[in-house]
Amino acid sequence: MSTLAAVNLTVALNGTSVLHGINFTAAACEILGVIGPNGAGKTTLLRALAGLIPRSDGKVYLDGKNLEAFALFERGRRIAYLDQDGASGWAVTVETLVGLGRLPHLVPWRGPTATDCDAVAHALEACDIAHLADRPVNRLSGGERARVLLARALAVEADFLLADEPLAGLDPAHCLQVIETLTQRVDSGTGIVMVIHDLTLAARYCQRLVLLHEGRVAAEGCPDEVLTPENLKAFYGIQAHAGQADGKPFIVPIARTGSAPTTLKEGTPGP
Amino acid sequence: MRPITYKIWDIIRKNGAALGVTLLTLTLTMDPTDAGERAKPQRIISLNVCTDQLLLIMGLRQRLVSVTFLAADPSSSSIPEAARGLLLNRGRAEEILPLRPDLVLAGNTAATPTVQLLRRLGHRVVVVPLATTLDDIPRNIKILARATGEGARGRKMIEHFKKELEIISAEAQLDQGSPPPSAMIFGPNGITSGDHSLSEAIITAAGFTNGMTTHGLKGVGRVPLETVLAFRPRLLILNSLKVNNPSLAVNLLAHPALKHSFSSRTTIHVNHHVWACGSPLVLNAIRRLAQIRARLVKIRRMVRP
Amino acid sequence: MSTRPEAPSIDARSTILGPRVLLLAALVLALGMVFILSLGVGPADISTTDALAALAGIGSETTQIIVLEIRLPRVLLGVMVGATLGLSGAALQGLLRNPLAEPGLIGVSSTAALGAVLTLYTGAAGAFTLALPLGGVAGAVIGVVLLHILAGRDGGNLTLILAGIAITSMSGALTALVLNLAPSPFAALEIVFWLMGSLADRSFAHVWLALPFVTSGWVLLITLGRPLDALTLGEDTAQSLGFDVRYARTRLILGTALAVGAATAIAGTIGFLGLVVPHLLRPFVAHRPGALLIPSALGGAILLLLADIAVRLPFPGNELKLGVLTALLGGPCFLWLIVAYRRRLT
Repeated sequence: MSTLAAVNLTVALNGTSVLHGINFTAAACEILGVIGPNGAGKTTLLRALAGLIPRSDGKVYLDGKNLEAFALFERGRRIAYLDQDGASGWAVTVETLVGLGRLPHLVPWRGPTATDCDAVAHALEACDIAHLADRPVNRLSGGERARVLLARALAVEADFLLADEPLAGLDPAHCLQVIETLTQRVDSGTGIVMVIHDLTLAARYCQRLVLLHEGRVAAEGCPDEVLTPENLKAFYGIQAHAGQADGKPFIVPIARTGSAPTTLKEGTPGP
Repeated sequence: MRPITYKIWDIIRKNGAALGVTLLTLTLTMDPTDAGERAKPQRIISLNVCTDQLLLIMGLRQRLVSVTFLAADPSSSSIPEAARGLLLNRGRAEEILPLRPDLVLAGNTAATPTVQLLRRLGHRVVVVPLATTLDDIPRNIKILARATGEGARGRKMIEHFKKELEIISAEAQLDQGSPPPSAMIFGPNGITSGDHSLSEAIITAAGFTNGMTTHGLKGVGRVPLETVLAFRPRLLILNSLKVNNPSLAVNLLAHPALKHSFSSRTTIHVNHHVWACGSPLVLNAIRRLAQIRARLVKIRRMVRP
Repeated sequence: MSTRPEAPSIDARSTILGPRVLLLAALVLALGMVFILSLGVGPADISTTDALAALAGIGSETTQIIVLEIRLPRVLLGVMVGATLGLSGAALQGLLRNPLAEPGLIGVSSTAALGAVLTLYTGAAGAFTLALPLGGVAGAVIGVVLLHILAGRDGGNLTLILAGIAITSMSGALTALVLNLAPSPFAALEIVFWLMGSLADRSFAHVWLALPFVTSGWVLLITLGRPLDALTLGEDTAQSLGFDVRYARTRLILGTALAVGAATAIAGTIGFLGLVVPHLLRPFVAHRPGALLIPSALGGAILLLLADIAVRLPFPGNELKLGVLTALLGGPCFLWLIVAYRRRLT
């Protein structure tokens, strides 16, 4: 099984330190949710994992091997990245856009193979946009566009998919649809690392969670362990009502606690 | 009482000698040739490069205060050294007025603002028109001579010019039997000369026909490179500047098509400042062209007797 | 892996390759026709058939010289310059994800002209012939670097155009200054050539001079096909797909500088072609930036040859400058693009 591990990952942007000594491992066949308050460094973490920004310290290991050691296209085949505010520069068709996901697999100066075409078709099918295949992307609704971008990331058929807030701006039905698609992918063997704000969905669908706070890992583990009232108060500054419905957990934020969230000292586990 | 006529006769008889001397003096001073010599301008300013050169050739440097800056530029003047030491002007009234000239010579037209301003301020401005035929050269010499009070010198120059021209023309007429070969001028940017231009006069005096006149051009104009090649003149006259400053206009003269169409024997390089101004120096150009013509005709005769 | 559901077969190859080959064939054919047509235009009375015969060695010596030394190099240069402008325009638009980018508008052509003027009128080009295209290339490199500094990596459309205006104005003024200070009396008047471009009276010497730079530039730019496609979704996504975006940007800068620099050094500044051609052809390649590159090169060559024919027709002796024509056609197109993309502009 593939693993994607961050070891002592430290990143500084424009002189300010954003991530300090991040340690965790994501495995294929599971959804790892990255949660935390705004400005905690979640997007930076994802970008560092994808190898898009330089690190000041620490390493990222893919299957035990340093990510830097991989060739660029090999990295592109093994790790797919879904941007937060994806926008297409050109009015290409949906099928073309999804087809961009196959670029790491293409041989120079040769067209797409049957495998590539199948992967694209499969991705379109999985995101329920096969009927939009010939539509130019500038004539899509918000939900459709989000699914198209997800399909592009799925078309890569990588071992890991790093998705930065894939549910942002989607209505509840589409949220559930996207997350169900992702779950199906996990069943096929992909590992997903996903930044998510909705705590209920995080609790329901993520096998493990990593709670980031001010650039450090504040808590890690399965949702029950991480989404405790103490953690919610300490790191989100909220009070929430947790419960179960149809055997599935839910968490509803009730009020802000008023007290400022505590600052975590390095090496100290959360309260 | 005696009649008035008798009284006048008495006065004349009594003052005959004095009257005679007075009359003689008057006659002498009224001679048009000598009138100018008495009021010869001593502070002459020239505003045109052609009049600059004519004045210097006439030997009037001592009385020149200023010539144009082009007169000292080797690429515009045939005698740049002669202008050394003179004040160089750019034809503007501001520069001329402080120099207090008593004669200003301008070229071509009296309609320029500078000339009008100077005349309005009371200065004497003589306009020497552009020479477009060989007859204009003695005419211009005469105008200059009269304006500067050098009538005798002027007449001598004109005589010499006419005599030389006659000799050259006579030689050119010797080959009456063969039709005159064609020549074409090609200068930077494709500038060329057609009918009623000094260049054409030089070409025809040397015994050629001007290809551009045949082509229908009057005066100065531009001709595309293709036209020159298509016409195939017998002689290509390249109007190149003495000082070779790079520019696209000058680079055109080095186009490979010209090199391939015309050999070194059918191309000559001339300095345009000789051809642009109507002065006795033009005779050298005509002489040179006539020699080339004689050689070309001889070659033609050898090819087809 | 578990079994996948049966996917509907979409033969992507037929949807991508078929129309593309057709487009390329049509463009090549059109180029051939305009090429031949252009050989028959000129002040001398040589028709197209005469010109073709002259190419084969038949006809009077004069006709052959005119066709081989004047018309043929002119048409070849038209192809080279036009293809360069179209290709670099498409590449710039792809990289910057901006339909308004082209070498003329962003100032690269103007700085290239300045570089060329500096080498020509100081006599450097006379001493060392390659100095002329090299001067153009150096000028172009400076132009792209300046643009990068001014507009930044994530410069929006407005910043890009403003930076382009600034660079074009500055280098235009400096070019005029150099020409006025040049020793040759003709220099000051030749600014019209450098600002408006022309292919008149070029020779094979110019063709050989520009050829190595232009072709190396083309090679660098054509390799940008896949990176440009990847960049459709932004630099992060392109990077995550395995493309080295910085290396792609370097290839774009170098390729544009080499090709546009040398082309401008020989033919002056010709604007708007790099803007109009990709815009016209984009619908034919389904808006894919990578697929737009080669068709834009061909389209640029065709348009420039057509413009070159047009400038010679009404006044065979006193030609219009090429840039006048391309501005007359491209200017309205530019305005139309601004109106159409008004929402995206700020």
